[in-house]
Amino acid sequence: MNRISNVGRQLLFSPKLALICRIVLGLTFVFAGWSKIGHPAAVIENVLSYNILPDYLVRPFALILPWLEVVSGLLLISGLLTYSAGAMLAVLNLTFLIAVGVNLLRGSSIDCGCFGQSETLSWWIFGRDVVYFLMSCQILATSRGFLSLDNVLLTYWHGRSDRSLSID
Amino acid sequence: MRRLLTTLTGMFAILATSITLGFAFEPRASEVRPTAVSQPANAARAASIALFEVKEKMDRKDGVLLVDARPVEDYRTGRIKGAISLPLAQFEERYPQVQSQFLADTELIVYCSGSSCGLSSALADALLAKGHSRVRVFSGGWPEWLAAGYPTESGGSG
Repeated sequence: MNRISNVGRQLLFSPKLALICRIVLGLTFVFAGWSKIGHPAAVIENVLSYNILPDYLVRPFALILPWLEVVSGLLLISGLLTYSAGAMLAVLNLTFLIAVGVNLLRGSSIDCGCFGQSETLSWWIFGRDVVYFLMSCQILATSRGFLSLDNVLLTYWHGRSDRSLSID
Repeated sequence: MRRLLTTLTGMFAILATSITLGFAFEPRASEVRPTAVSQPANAARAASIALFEVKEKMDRKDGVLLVDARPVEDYRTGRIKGAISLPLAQFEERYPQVQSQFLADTELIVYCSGSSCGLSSALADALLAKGHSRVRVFSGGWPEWLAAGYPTESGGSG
């Protein structure tokens, strides 16, 4: 039992798993966002069909959401501002989970609008969003990323401050 | 604590960048693409009308009247400025109340919640059956109008 919990803990805090999560989640969201950019009418139609946001918020949300997905996805892949991008995607995934869950409970058979393709809302999509949410939480649980720009910049920064200290 | 602050600052930067990009690359109204190219299965016999043409006619006050086919609650939440409500579900009940606004030379432009919504096509058919010959369907409807950032209004009794 102890061994299983140790393995679980190692997996939860594994930097290599975090790297896989970053790349998979990053690519997924870059693709999801990119497929929406330039199609505001389709995104608005989709957001309206979820029947959650008030109409006056639908247009700004539809204009910002694709870029939020692309920017967070790119940052996650490169490992720059890793925690912030991971936290942003965790918030986004939680929002999607609530929106999808509420509509599934309402019995709405609307289009998911997830990747710019027609895909009717289902518990499978809800499950997929749960996995994405857990992946973003795993990124947040690990120490600053393995193979990330954050690490490179931090090493460079510390190197510089060490050098300036020794000159002083 | 410091890590939380750094994370929140980064999130704010990501949000600010996305807002800037979203509004910087906001498509002009003329670039708003239709939500779908295919006609709904129950396409009306009435001719369709594109977004830019609806706007032109509205600006010229060209004897047009916009008719919202969606349920009254949706109409109250938000609609094209100047549109009247004639929900398909309450057509027989509501038609006599709004009929006086349908002058002989008025062009009726019917819309609903976009390309996947069949309400506007069905309402156009119902209006044609009542003898109105100048009926057109704006199939992009409310989502396309919102995407273009054209004037809207909300509230009212419907």
